[in-house]
Amino acid sequence: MQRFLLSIMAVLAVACAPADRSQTAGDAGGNPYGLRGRVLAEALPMPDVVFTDTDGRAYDLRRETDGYLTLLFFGYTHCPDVCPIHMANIGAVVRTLRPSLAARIKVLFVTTDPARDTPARIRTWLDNFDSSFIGLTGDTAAIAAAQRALWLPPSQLGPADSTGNYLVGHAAAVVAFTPDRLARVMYPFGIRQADWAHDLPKLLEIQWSGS
Amino acid sequence: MVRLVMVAVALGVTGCGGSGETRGSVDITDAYAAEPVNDESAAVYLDVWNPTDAPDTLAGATTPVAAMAHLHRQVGRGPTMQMETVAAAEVPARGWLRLEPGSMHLMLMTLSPRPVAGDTLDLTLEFRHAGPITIRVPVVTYVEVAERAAAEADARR
Repeated sequence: MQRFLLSIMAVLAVACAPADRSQTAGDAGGNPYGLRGRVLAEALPMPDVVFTDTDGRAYDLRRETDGYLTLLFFGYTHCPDVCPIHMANIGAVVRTLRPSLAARIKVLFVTTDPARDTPARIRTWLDNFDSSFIGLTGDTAAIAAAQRALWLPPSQLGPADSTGNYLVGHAAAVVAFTPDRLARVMYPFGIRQADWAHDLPKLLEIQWSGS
Repeated sequence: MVRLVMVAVALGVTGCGGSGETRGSVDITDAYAAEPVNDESAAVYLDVWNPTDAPDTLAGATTPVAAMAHLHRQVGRGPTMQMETVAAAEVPARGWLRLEPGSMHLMLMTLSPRPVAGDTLDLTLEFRHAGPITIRVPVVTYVEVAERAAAEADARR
């Protein structure tokens, strides 16, 4: 067996971004809905952004998600573990739901690495988790605008290694929008299949007060 | 005898009897690899218990199925997930080094052949003091990776 050594890289820590608004969920007086995710103190509207889907078609976030429970995640296909684990967990649970329920849910994956994540690459990657998942890309300004609108920290490219590979820092949370296209709940990394199985039906049932 | 006691402690803490591997002076438990989604990379998770009074260092890894291995570590804590590549990781004296989702993993790069769930791969870990330790690592789906990580976290509560 040939021996290879770990490559050595100096890495700069990525500057911290504005706080994730979900951190303030506790300030809203707990979680009146019994959800496992973090209920936002203030619901946020679906970003008014048009992306491109994996078929190369324009995808208007607000138009396409109207009437659906939408789970939105920013990640990238070279992502070592956070992205595939989120996607695998959601895929595993969505497949266990009644079809009538699953049909009311859209799962959107927005790349934070549009330079490497071509639509075809995103499609192939998402199909590992569920072929119904919708893959989106866009220019960096559109991706940044969508993150900003949700008070998520902006994604940031890490330094490249000797092979040109690089890691991307991005928000770890999945954002859940109710069918009225309002972001209501954040799901941080560490959320489990049992939590999704618990929350997804509830997210479609809850009568939300206020906006 | 001391070694046997240490192995028992290690297995007891992880609640995962039977999966421990003991070579040299560190014990490796709960090793598994995520089934890669392409032939570019695969993440490996494991726990290292150092029963000695001196810290050790995980300084590299090799496997016949990958051209190289990087050690990735989560930068800081907070709403952003940012990984960085590091050259080595310390295993504290009488302590654990845990490679688990969201915090640290070994990334096997350029896979040939690409492992699939159900496979077992040979992985040689290089420790500064304990030397090379070769373990057998089962390959599991990402769905199972997530469940295993959750079960390990529960067992430590």
